[in-house]
Amino acid sequence: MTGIGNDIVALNAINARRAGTKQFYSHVLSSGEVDFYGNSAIASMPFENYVWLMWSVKEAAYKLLRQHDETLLFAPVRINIKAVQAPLGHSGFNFGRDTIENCTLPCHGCYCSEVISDTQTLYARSIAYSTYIFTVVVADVQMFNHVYWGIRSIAATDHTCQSAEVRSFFLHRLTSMLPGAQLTLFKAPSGAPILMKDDIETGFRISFSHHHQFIAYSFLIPSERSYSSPGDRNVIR
Amino acid sequence: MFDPLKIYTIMTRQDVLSELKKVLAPYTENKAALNEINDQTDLIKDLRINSSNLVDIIIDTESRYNIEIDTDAAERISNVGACIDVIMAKMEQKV
Repeated sequence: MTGIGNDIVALNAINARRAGTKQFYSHVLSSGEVDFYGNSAIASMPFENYVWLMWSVKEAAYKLLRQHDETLLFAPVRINIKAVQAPLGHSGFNFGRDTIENCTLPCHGCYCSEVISDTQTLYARSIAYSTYIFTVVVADVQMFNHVYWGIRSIAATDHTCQSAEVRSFFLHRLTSMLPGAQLTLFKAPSGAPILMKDDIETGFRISFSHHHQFIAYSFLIPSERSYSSPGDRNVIR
Repeated sequence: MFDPLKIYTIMTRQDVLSELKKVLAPYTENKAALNEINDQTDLIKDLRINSSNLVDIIIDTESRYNIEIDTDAAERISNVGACIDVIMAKMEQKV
């Protein structure tokens, strides 16, 4: 399975008190997923944040799965998280800035999860910072070595602005990677963004998300477009 | 079984729609679209409700109608018509 899904949750926009109630989290978590919280490393985060971490993983997984079945409906409890592992160390990401971008998502700085949906296993990595939770889901864990992503804090929080800003943010990154190319975006029936370069579909796998003041993108470059060297990852041949 | 001592309130589809607008109002910035909702109105695409608020909408609906929305029913709630179907079916189960 190919594709990518992501999700971002602005922690200042959630109702923390409500998220901690059984009436709320029973619509998100299975009983087994509630039990994961007993793990001491994970229990270092507030329970309501844990609920939203799990939500973020499930929403990102749904976005990936929907790229393959556009009739799929989102039911968080039907997407099962098999295991969650807390970060082993510091992420190394430079939080606290308005914009953070990278081209890899290493396990040691992330909450790492395995997601089961029907017979498919997916892999999630989530960054839980004080103000947001950001998750990327892919079908092959090796893809995290090649996932491009970015998070930005913006002033406007209305849907139209968020949507325009996340596209602009993504295209700005791509413009530097594909210098001189005419880049356009449109939406597939599944809702996934499709990137056209000079009117030809690029095959990039892309996911956008936004919540309150945060916008985020993630994408994978098709494997045939390789780099000449590891240090050459900023320009696509 | 019909209980002659119980007070039955029959809500029409239109009644449920009117109440549902009140449930959805806090979660949509698209008030114009909210005023014109119909069965086909998609909660996320048309009302631009963030998916993170879907559980809030389920809980608010449960509270407003004193019903429980299980996973099967929650999964179907993607547009206004499906919401009304779920609410009416759950209310019927209570009678």
